[in-house]
Amino acid sequence: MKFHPESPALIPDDVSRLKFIADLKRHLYFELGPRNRDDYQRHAAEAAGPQPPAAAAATREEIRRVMEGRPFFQLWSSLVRAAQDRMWEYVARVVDRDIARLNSRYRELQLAAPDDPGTDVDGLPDYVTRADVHRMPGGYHVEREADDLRAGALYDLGGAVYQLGLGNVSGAMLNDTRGQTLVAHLRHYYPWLKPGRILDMGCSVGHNTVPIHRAFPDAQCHAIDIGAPMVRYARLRAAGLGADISFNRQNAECTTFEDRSFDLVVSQILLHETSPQATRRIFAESLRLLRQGGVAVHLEVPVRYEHCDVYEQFFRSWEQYYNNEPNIEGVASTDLHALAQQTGFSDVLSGYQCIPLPTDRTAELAPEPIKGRGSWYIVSGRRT
Amino acid sequence: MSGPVQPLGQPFGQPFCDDPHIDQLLSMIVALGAELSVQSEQLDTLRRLLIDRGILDAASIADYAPSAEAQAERERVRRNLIASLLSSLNTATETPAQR
Repeated sequence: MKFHPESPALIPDDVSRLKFIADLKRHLYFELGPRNRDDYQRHAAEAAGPQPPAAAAATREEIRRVMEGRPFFQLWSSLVRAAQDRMWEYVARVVDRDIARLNSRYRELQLAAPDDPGTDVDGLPDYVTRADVHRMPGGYHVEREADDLRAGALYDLGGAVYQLGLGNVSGAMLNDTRGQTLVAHLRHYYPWLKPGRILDMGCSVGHNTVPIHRAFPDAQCHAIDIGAPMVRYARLRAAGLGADISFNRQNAECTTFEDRSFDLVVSQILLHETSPQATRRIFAESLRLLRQGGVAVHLEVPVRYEHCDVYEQFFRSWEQYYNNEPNIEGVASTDLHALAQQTGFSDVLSGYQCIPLPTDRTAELAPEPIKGRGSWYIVSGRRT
Repeated sequence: MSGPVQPLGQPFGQPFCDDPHIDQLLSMIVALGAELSVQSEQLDTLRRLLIDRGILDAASIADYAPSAEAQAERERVRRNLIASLLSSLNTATETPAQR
């Protein structure tokens, strides 16, 4: 079995293992996860004694300190982490069985049409090297041989299983609901946009660049990522899907593209894996690259602290503290709408954008989280 | 291929539970569940194929005795299963992903 023409090949036992992990994750998040709140409320009631609790709410940090000592949170977190680590172990088995073929397919592509090598980025940002994001061993950048694309292959399979575990079945194993959601946003709010040049910043393996390219097949589509193995795999993956996209390795904070050289610049769940400073630079860079009338869209995880009570803020930052996603709190607590305005974008839009489904193509942004319906948070604006 | 990739970030062996052995046991349970799921699906595939094609009935499966070669293969698979289940006993610097 393959996820797409150039994916590593899975045997039935791999599929059984990975489906087990996806189902286990789903059970942990949706069935057992909410019990942490019940447990915290029980603790708060016990701590308050017979008197009603004081009006002042605890902070996220105070709740974290309490919960790290609660047996249920310990067991639950340990299981979530074990499921994540086993997922990478099982994914690595698949990739390592097939890595020689994958690397050689990439070299064939290179021989047929040499890649734009991109720029030698001036060192890797701290948020890439400090920790393995999502606990994927080696992170986005480690190479084990010349022209290695292993990290991209791991991420492609792991990301698809992770999304399935979150119950996000739309887009199946292509894991491309973010690109589909972004296109739905563009069609609804910018129907006049006919981009000649498109840039996807922090594209990882390009799984969400492909739907954008397909929405605008006449445009010249570029995609960049900081991880060399990621862009190599992205190139192979896109070639297998027949998508003509130019990938190269660049830092989205400071690309080498010329001023005003794109009509559409996007990022998709990039910001929460960077830093608050990098987020501001990426917004500024996306504006610098736009031609007059061009549009930038930044799509993020749908976690907004202004729409969460303090317990939910604590709970939704689990991935930052225990799964190495370094800027969840930074993004969730930043007013991205205001940041886009301060950066210089005009007619800024923001809100929760539903993932398009065959049965429901709701295209309007929702100002509040949408219960029981998958969505991504979007901020977009124009350069005037 | 060069050596294993050194994981970075939140320590891989850092326990959540007051007793770190519980973390290791939970990791084993996850692996056990995954392998059980694999075996259940394989068995289901085989049973359905065999019965649908009229090759075997349930009694023949119950009476099966493995050959020496089959026995050796079973032992290899069993040892791999044990290694996988117990991999959470590795130290913090020796994660399953490094094997």
